[in-house]
Amino acid sequence: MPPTDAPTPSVTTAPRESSSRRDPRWLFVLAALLLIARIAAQVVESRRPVADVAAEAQDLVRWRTPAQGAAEAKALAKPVLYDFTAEWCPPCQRMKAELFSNPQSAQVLEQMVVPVRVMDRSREDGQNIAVVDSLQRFYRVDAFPTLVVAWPEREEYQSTSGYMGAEGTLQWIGQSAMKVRPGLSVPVRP
Amino acid sequence: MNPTLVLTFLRQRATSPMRMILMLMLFGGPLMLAVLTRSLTPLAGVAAQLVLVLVAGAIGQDVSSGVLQLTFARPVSRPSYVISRWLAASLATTALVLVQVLLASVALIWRGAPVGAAEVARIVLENAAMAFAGAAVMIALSSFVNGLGDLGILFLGFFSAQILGAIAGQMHWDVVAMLARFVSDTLFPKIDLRWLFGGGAVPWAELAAWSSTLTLGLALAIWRMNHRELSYAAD
Repeated sequence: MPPTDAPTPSVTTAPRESSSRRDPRWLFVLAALLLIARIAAQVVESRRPVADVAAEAQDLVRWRTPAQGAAEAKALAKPVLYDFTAEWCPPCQRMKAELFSNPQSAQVLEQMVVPVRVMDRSREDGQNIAVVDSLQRFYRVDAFPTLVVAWPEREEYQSTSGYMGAEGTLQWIGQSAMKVRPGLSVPVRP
Repeated sequence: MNPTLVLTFLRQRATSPMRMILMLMLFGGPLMLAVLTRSLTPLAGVAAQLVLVLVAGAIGQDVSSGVLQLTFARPVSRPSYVISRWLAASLATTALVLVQVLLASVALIWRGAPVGAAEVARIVLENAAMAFAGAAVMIALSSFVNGLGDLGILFLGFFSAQILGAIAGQMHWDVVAMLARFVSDTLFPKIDLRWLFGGGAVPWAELAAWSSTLTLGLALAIWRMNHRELSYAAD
């Protein structure tokens, strides 16, 4: 009788089941369920028209006209915050709903800066009024929203385009208000 | 959770001079700004940066240095290792923010600025939420790449999403814009807790995003660690 071969040891490529590896299945299931809930919530939210969200939010910032803002900033020795915005711009409406409609944020803004809104109407009316055009040219605004923090009668300014979230924007305004104060040298944006 | 791993991680982080310098700057800078502007606003979101400094390379650096192989030679489970790293970074960041906010509040009250207990609580809680979710994201990234590669992936992903989001916004590509926002919110998770203090409706979508980011980060990190083959030769 021919000798039989000894059984060859099986080779597996699966990860070793050592004692240090434990799969917390409940965590995987929870993570999957929350991910589904998140995607569903985001889809539902994205289908809500931007105009509805903005209409629900009441802008609590007391916006000045450019002339009023400049005079008030000079009198109070505070920087001016220019909000270059447009009605049709979704991030602008998000900023309004999340930042300018919040009582605490509006209060902080009033403390730090003199807020001036510069509304672009070129898409709706075909052209802007002269002061809007000249401010957009001076601060080189090419996207909405653009925020500019400037000290009255000084050329130095800080600017940012796009919406970076309520907290981030408020933080940026606070830091820029400090940077444009006379005595602190800040390079002019090219 | 393994208390020894938590303490070891914190001790390891505290012995890095560069990390300590950055932490000091991130601790002192916003604190000074809060005092100068007479407002707690500069402290909102400070945990996002603090936790980055504290947790960057949490697992990747252990892999690069060969510490991980030695750690797992002891009776330490991989999920426990991941959870300990995450908890250590999150709790340490929360404690730092708490001290920072309390110091700022005392300074503001001393300077005669109004400081509300609700505002203090909100800023601390929002920062804590940011720290816990942010640490989970970084731990997940760190489990995939060695060294400080997690920081590279984080910033590359974030800036790519920002650029893509801006382009999508201009071109009205709604799905791409939503995807870009999804990536940004995942990499830098945050939550607005004003509703807890009597300010508006509960933001369910934001809550779902935050909790999903946290659990997904931890689940991915644990899954990756459980499937990672460690050897001195390979890593």
